[in-house]
Amino acid sequence: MENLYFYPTLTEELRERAGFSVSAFGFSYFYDDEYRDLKQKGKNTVKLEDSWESWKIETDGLHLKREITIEYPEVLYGEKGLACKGAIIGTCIIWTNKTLTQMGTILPALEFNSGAIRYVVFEHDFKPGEIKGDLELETILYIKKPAEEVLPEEERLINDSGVNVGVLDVCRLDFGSIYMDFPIQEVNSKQQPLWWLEIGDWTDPRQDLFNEDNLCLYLNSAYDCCPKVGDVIKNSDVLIEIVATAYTMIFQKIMEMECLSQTVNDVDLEPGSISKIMFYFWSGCDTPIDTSSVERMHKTIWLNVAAMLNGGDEV
Amino acid sequence: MISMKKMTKAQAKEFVDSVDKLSDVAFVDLTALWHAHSITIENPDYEELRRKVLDAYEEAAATNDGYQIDLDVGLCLFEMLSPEKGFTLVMANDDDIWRYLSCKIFPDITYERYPKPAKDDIRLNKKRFYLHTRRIWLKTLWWYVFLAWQGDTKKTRAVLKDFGTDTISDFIERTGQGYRVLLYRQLMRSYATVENKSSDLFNVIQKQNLVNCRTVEPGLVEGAEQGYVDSLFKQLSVGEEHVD
Repeated sequence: MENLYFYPTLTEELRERAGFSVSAFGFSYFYDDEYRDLKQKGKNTVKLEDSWESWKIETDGLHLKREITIEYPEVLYGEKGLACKGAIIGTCIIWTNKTLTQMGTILPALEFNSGAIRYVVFEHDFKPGEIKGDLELETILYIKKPAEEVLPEEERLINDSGVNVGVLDVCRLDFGSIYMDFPIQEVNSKQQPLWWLEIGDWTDPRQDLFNEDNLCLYLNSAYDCCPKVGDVIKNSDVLIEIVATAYTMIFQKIMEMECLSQTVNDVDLEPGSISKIMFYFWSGCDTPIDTSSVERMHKTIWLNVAAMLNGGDEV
Repeated sequence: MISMKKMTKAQAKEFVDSVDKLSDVAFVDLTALWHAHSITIENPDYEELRRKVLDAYEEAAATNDGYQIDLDVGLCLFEMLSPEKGFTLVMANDDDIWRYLSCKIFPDITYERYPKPAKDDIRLNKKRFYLHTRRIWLKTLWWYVFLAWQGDTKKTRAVLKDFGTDTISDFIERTGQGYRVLLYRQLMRSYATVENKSSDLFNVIQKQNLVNCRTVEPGLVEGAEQGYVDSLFKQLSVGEEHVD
């Protein structure tokens, strides 16, 4: 559910007037006394690639950098802005690592004004072993220091410190690929199908973990159209079909166990559980999933999987 | 740092099943060994960890107080397996590591702490040994101490000493979007000063905190986490007796 705000938050129009210039994130890792850049792939969900093929988030950690320039910060203050004239607006990155159920804040490493223009630089290291699986980076504006005096025309503005008054953007990183979220086993046998999903003996999808103990996707490299052979990913169209159908089968099983409502509403879900992972998928879908029939569910899941795997490209 | 061994859910299930299938006589023999804490450790790397945790357990068990056992075992476990010593959060989140510890290194104390099988169990409490990620006993204790850590064992014990077993589950299971470690540590520090602690009160605080965090980021409030917790307690009129 989206948050409802009872005070003004950042709008596109205000963002333009303030002249925000937000750089893309730069990601790298520290190795042998230097930072090695990681290449980014995808739009909705970013995957990182290391040309040295040695980086792993668990063992090498992650360094990030981004710069923000605000050309006319003064428009963020006062009656038509976000904060009272006497307040101070800060910029911050909120990070969330769903796999390890952790979150925290990253404050600017550097902030300075040059004339009226405000420059903010973020730089942060996630140490090896600190995060795993995924990372969401939400860059926000917040009330850093409330005004001592609220003018009559500013009464509709929030004036409490720590309150989020606008999101500049959200960057989602996936340290496996989306289908690697599935526990996968490779097989090589012409006597077996191209792929199949093995669903274990679940006790409760809200608690059973989304891992090989409870489900496993088998891909058969004996077929030329197999979408994954070793570390090579190919035939993305086939991959989309497989992942979409696998998600459908999992949702069907969750429905059979009468846990759909709790799953999609994130009620009493264990971190890392099958339902929790399905909730993340559900809440990340641009096209609402239609559960009124299996075939409609499959089609709407397909649309979302295609959009996710194609990284926001038109499908 | 010990090279941590792992045990999959299927292997842990196999272990519990093997105990469940024992004859009554064989099970009595096994539990007698467990009560005597006579366990053969296959991997000598774990001997020091087992000895220290067992000492902490035995001393606390003499009090017959479940929370005292949880706290002492948790503190000892965290001291031995701390992030500073190389036991990372990724490892602490790996159920397979905790399953190995529960089934291979500490089956005796896990059984003694939870001697009654839960619904659908036969002899051993599956949830506490391996089944549910937020219920594996040793894992919950480690995370409880980590989230309440005050810099050293003495200070952490001082903050946690008057809480109860309910606090552990209330604390571990209400994650919201994720644990804000600094906030949790401050919350425990402040809650420790409240005179009339209760599970209900702690739940109210936790719930209001989750609501507030939809719009407020505690670390960004003036006074940071402490400023935030002070205003949270004020909002709920918690502990007029609350002393900073």
